[in-house]
Amino acid sequence: MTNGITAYDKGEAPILKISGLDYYYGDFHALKSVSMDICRNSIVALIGPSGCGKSTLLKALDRMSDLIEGSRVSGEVLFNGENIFGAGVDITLLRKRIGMVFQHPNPFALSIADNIKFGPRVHGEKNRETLDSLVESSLRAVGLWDQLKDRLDKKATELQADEQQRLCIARLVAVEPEILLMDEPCSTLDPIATLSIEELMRELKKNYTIITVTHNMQQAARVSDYSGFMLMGELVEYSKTADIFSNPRDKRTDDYISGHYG
Amino acid sequence: MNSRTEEKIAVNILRLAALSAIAVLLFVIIYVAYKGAGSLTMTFIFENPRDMGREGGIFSAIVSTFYLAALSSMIATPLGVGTAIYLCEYTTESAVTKIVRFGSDCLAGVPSIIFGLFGFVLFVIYLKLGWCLLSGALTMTFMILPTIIRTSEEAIKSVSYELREASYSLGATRWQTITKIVLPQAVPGIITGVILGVGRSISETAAVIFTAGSALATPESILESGRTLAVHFYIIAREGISMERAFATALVLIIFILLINIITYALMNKFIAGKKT
Repeated sequence: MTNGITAYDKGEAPILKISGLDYYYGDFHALKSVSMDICRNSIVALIGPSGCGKSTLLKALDRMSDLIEGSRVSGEVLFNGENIFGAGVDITLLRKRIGMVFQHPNPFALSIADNIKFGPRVHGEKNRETLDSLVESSLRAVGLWDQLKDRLDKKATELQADEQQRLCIARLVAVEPEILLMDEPCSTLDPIATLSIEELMRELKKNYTIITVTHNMQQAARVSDYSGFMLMGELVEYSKTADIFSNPRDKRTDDYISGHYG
Repeated sequence: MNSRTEEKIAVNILRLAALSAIAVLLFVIIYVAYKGAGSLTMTFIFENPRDMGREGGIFSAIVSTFYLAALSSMIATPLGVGTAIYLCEYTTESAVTKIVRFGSDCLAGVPSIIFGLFGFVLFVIYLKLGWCLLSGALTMTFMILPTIIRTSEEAIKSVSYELREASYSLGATRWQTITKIVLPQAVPGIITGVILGVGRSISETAAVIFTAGSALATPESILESGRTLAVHFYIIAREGISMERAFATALVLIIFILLINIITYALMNKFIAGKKT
């Protein structure tokens, strides 16, 4: 059983500690006793063939999966020591602290500035100067400030795809999360835009912890510190990216990485 | 018969069908305009009717029509949009939502005279409101509610799930997501439904006579009876008071309805154009 490897080696407590996480859609057992530790300021890539449960795992971590009808969860996810499935958890606060970037860039049909202000506003920020400075700092964080500062009132939906995706990340950054979940953030982007987002991910790692789902193994190898290989709802192997790609311990991981299926 | 002639015949029959719809519309408009234009003057519009409508104008009827349409849409819009939001955002597809939706579809199919009778019994008699614009407007509210619910539901559903997801993922509540993200995008579609409802309430006669009465004076409050344009037309035409004035009234009514439809179309186009970006 290779499940549940502890991959952190910095000697500090993990930001997320997933243990024995099971997830069901109706009768479908989508996650099977997944256990993994995520350490702070790292990039974790979840790889595996379609339908292996990697997106499900991601969506369970900020409880976006609650929105799916007929879903059921058991097990524990400790976020800074607190179970996110606990009774007293404020789900809006949880999602503020664990944000998600989606496969398709999904900016609101609002201005660039209002997209960024949306998050802080729903959490009660009304001060105009604070909001304006958040717009600047968030756009700077994703490297969009210089190119967009003169057209902040333009519609965000008119931006190019990779700018839109950066804006979606900036929109998250504005609510000051700790973890960024990214569900195949580059899958709709061209190779150059993909590289720029990957570079951004490495930049963001200094301040955030990133968990990303990807179909693209080169991307996982390029960008992540740790990788988890999932298959049919099971976390087959989880270790340092360099190790998993050069020296996979499980035969199924080896088969997948060497392109035998998926 | 070979397939090419078949094709030709089919195309021509379909073309004829399409033409007949527009031909009927044009015929009605031209006929009403031809009959009514002679009496349609500024004084006709801005004077109150005298001598049961034989003399004077239709100002009081325009005022009553406006009251009735404004009042019923003001009551029906929040109710209808609220129902639509509840059905789309707060419930999962269940027996209850199916019953509510089925009920509202049935409501849409109920003949207006039944609404009139119901409104008469409930508002005029039981609640002692008497024949007044408020009774009429409340009755029309029930009539136009299904239209508003259905169009609002469609408009709300057409807002992409991804935007809701984005909003939830930033920690917004359901209500924040609805008011800040979903409704602004759905507004053009909702307005379309409201305008369709307005069109229906200004052209209704039977249910309005039963509940708002047909007093000729300009109503000074919603608790007074009033005669809408459609009712005025119905009465002066049926009682043979003045056919020219009846047609002039009809012309004003048709112009209102055409304007409403043109606005609806413009909004719908804008709505569709907005969807593409």
